[in-house]
This record gives sequence, structure tokens and C-alpha cells, in this order.
Amino acid sequence: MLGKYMKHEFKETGKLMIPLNLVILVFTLLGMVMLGSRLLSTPAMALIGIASLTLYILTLFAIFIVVYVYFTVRFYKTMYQSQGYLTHTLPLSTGSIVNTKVFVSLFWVTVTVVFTTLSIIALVYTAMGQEWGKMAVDSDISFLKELLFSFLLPCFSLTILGCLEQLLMIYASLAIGQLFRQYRVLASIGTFFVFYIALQILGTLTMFFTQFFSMDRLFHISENISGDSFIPFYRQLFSVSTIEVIVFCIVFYILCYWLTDKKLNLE
Amino acid sequence: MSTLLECKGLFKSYSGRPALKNVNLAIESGHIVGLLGPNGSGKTTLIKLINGLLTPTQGELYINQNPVGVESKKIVSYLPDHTYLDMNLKVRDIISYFMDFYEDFDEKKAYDMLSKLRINPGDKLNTMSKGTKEKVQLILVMSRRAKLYVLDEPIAGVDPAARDYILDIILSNYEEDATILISTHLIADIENILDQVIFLKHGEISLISSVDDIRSGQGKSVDALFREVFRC
Repeated sequence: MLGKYMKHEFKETGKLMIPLNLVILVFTLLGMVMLGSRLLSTPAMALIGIASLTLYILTLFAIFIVVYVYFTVRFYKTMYQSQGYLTHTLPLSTGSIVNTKVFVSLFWVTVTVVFTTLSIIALVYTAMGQEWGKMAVDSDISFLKELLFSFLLPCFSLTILGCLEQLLMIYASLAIGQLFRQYRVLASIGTFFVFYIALQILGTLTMFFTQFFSMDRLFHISENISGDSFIPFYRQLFSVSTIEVIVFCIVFYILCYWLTDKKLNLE
Repeated sequence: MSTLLECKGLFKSYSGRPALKNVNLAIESGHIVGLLGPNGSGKTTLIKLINGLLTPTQGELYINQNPVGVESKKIVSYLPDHTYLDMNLKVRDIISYFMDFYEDFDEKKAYDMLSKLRINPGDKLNTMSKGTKEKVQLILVMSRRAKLYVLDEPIAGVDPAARDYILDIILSNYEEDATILISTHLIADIENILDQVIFLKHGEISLISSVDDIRSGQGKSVDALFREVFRC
């Protein structure tokens, strides 16, 4: 039953998410053609190049906004509005419903992050071409390895965890908003901002409590992130941030699940 | 006959304002039961509790000896008082959705009913009139071989001719041993099909009786008794 629900969720969300990711692909291919053909080398075409780059960046931002707005609206409509009458009368447990929604939305957000990252890499590679390859060959292989495993991969994992945290924070806010008799959307937005501010405060406090942002370190921050200490600095930053994000994810998930399971209010 | 639906000391309040007060109820299988009461009497609240769309403030609710949950939802077919389907979907897609989730869904029955009503399965819901959407919803609900059909105001907002038609769909498509709980305030239109009635007044049950007892015992129609009990 869970598999069937997931299948339908993928089918419905794919109707928007596949075209959105295709937009990224098309923009990337166009960009690669422009950069590869050296069309932008003349001064007259440089303006067009700048305009294209601006359009590309704005499109990427717009796509991420659309993705988050879409999943927010979809979650609200199918869980706490009229379509919730169907969702919550299906022979599925609340856990199955919430897990599917979270998994499917995270899947598509991850796909979009991957597409965006690959798009940027492809464009930079096309623009820099051989110089990039030369830089890689000249670099120490062990440094590149460490860069990949201690910086790039943790950075990617943390980005995906951060996306999950954002999604769960939105879903938990909606779960709280549905408890209100009136102004549910307003209550959800208000809750989201309260969560957001609390997250910032707790995040900063965590950094201080873990001695990450000790006063001594703050004064020598530039020293700490240069040279050989570059990777250890980020490794420590990623560890602290990852634990923090995981804790927030668990809190938001429990809130969303518990409120939907025990306090569902489809008035 | 076994007890299909049982409510024990059920309370529901919204922000401290009671909507249901100490509802105790047992409905057996194989009956058509009218849940009757004026607007705001708590009919929809009770129906939502039966379907797990609201959680009780206090008390217990069992369907076929199971608390409201996955098992109860397998045997309850629910028609809300408004459209609850994704309007961007085609009727055919919604049928396949119901088939995936409800083992008791009869695809052939659904397509037969659509054909009789001349509804094209390839049409999207958002291209249909309000009345046609309601008919599609009713077809979906009645195409299940459920043990309990819970219909919230199925004839409200439709013309008298359509009411007869809707009642005909209900009566000719439910399982013999199943129970239909039908909520309405249009008593006269459904009186003839009811076996039992439950009167809800200000969130409390004011009467549970068989229709025969009302007619023979009190010498009144259900409609006449309803007007008497709920006179403003």
C-alpha cells in the first residue's frame, strides 16, 4: 500500500518537477553552446552574455522558489484542506502518509540540487576548459582526494540535510497552522517565522557552546581557514552543523507526525 | 447482527465549545440509518470522527471492533459534503487511484454507472458541472463493497429529480449486509428508505429509534416528528 501511495505521489509531483529540471538542462545546454562557440568574445556580444548569465541565475533561483512553494501548497492541500478528506480516509497509517510526502519532496529537491550543481559545473568547465583540467593535473592527488571527501561530499550531504530541514520545518508549521479554527495559513506562516528565528538563535548558541565560535577563534578566523587548516576547519564545521541539522529534522518530523496523527483537525 | 459502529461517551469540542456531548451509540450491520438534525447539530462532526478526520476530545469509537485507523478505513466508504478530489485529474485516473487503495473497489460497477449517467471517464473533473462532480464522487463511493457507507448530505443542493436519482444509485449499489449512515436535514426525501433514525440536537443524541416504531408507536412520520422535536 505504501508503494502504491509513493507511486501516485511521484506521478503527481513529476508533472511539475520533470519539466522544471528539463528547464535547467535546456539552459545548461544553451549556455554550453554559447560559451563553447566563443560567441561571447566580441564586446558587442559580451552584453548579451551578461544578460544571459543574469537570466540563468534568476531562473535557478526561481526554480528553487517554485519547488518549495509547490511542495508547501501541495502538502497543505492534500493534508489539511479538502483533498485531505481523501488522503486521511485511505487505508494508510499517518506514518506512511507523512513519510511518503517527506521522501518524495526530498527526492525532487535533491534531483533539483544535483541538476543545478551539474549545470554550474558544466558551464564553468566549458568556460574554463583546459585550464581547469590543467589545474587538476598539477594538484597533489591526495589533496584532491581530501578536498572531495572532506569538503565537497560533506558539503553536498549538508546541503541535502538542510533541504530536508527546510521541508520538515514547513510541514511542521503547516501541521501547527491546521490546529487553528481561523486564519490557518497566517498561523502557519507565523509559526514558520518563529521556527526560523529559533533555529538561527539555537544555531548560533550551538556554535558558541561547542567552542566553534570561541572569541579566540573569531579573532583568528582568517588564519584558521587558510593553508593547511582549511580542511580541518570545514570538517569541524560540517560535523557540528550536521548534528545540529539532524536534531532539528527529528524535532520537526516528530511535531508534524504527532500533530497529524493525534490532533488532525479537518473542520 | 453484529455491532458495526460503536461510540462510547464521545465528546468533541472546538476551542472549548462543545460540538458533541456524551454520544453513546451502537449501529448494527444491514441497516439504513438516518443521522438527522438541523444545521450545527453535530452530524458532520460525528461523521468526521468516524472517518478519522477529527480526533475526539474524549471517548471511544469502534468500527467493526477496531478503533478508527487503517483497519476501519478499509471497510468504510465515505462521501463528504463537498468535493474532495483533485480537480486536475480525469475520472479514469481517480478510478485507478481508488482501485489501488481499496481492495473492495469494483471497477466494472464504476464504469457501468458512469456509462448510465453518460459521464466520460476521459473528462477532467474541473471541466464538469458541480452536479456531475457530485455524481462522480457518489459513484466512487458506491462502487466499493464496503461494510459501512457514510454519506454526508448526499442530496443537499441538488434538485428534487436528481435527489431521486441519487437515492436510487445508493439503494441499488450497496451491499445487502452493509450499513448506510446517511446524514441530512431533508427528511421527507429519504424517509422512505430509512430503517432507523438518530436525532442529534445541540451535539447530543435526543432520539434513537426504528422508523417503524415512530410510525406505529407515535403515529407520525419521521418528518413530522423531526419538525416537532426541532421546532424553533
